[in-house]
Amino acid sequence: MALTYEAISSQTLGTTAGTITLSSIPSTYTDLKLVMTASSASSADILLNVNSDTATNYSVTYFYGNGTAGFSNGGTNQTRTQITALGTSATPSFYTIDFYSYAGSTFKSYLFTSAEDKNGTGTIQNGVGMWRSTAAITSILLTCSTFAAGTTVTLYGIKAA
Amino acid sequence: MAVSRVKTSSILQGFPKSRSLLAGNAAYIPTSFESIATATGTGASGTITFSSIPSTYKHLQLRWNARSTFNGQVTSMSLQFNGSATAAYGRHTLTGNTAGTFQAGGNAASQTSLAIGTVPANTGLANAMAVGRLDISDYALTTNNKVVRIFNGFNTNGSSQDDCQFISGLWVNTSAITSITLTVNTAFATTAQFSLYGITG
Repeated sequence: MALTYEAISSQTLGTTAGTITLSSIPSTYTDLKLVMTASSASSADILLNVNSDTATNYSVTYFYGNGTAGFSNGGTNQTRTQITALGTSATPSFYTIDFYSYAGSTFKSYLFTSAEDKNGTGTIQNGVGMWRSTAAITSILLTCSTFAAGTTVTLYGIKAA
Repeated sequence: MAVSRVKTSSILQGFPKSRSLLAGNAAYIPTSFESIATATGTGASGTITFSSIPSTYKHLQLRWNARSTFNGQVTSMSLQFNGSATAAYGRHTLTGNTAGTFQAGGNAASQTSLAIGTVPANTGLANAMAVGRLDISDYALTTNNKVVRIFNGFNTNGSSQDDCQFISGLWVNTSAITSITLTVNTAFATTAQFSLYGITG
């Protein structure tokens, strides 16, 4: 039986890094799901680009809560999708990004979540992003000032019948 | 002895491991997330129905990449279980949009269908799609009302009021869910795709 939910790649950073790249993504799945547990010495945001595209082809809408109130925001014609700040090594953050019909003929939309809890402060965020391109997504680039060692990223393929 | 049940743990502990059940191959691991059915918009119909859903899974997940041919920028999408239009659907919603309006108070009770999100339509940005996933827990139990969770969103680069939502939904009915009918105004675009998955327990 063909696997429907399958790990495509997985990596754990052995040392600090400024970028994480997932490349040579096959087009054989229906959707992709990225799962990441990440931390950093700084509190820089995570930036998402696909297919090395840094043109103003990204837009985003999101809402978040910080334990006190809820907010929403978004942006258009951006050069990447910005996701909320990282946790620290003691309190890593948990991220998911679902890319739908990533190899299809429409613009590419993705839903993302982030959960960051620092035992007293933190944020939780849900959002939707769009990459204005009909090209299949073949690579994903995550950028941060410094991903800490121990950061893990796993990419799954989800295949419909 | 007839084999009536196979568990991953029993396969992987102390026995030869085989993906194709031939000795020497990689371990066979039963999948727990299975594709049940897919559906694509026709451009002519505003409904898509997944029927004859087997009761053999523990949970269901529906995933979509959707758009409508409705003559407007966006339109809403809703669902009914088992073809029921009885006023027995409830929902609570967290919504965020690009204009910065966060809403935590969206709720509705005793509805005849469950609104599960907004999708771009004919006069909206071309090629923009709404995406989402719907999780239905214990859909086959006949002792509980049915509860669902939805995460959806769409983005048109600001050409319409883009939003994303986190929704809890309720169907006040203890019947096992055997069909799901999705509805939009006018028709689902031919680029709209829906995939239904079963998750084993």
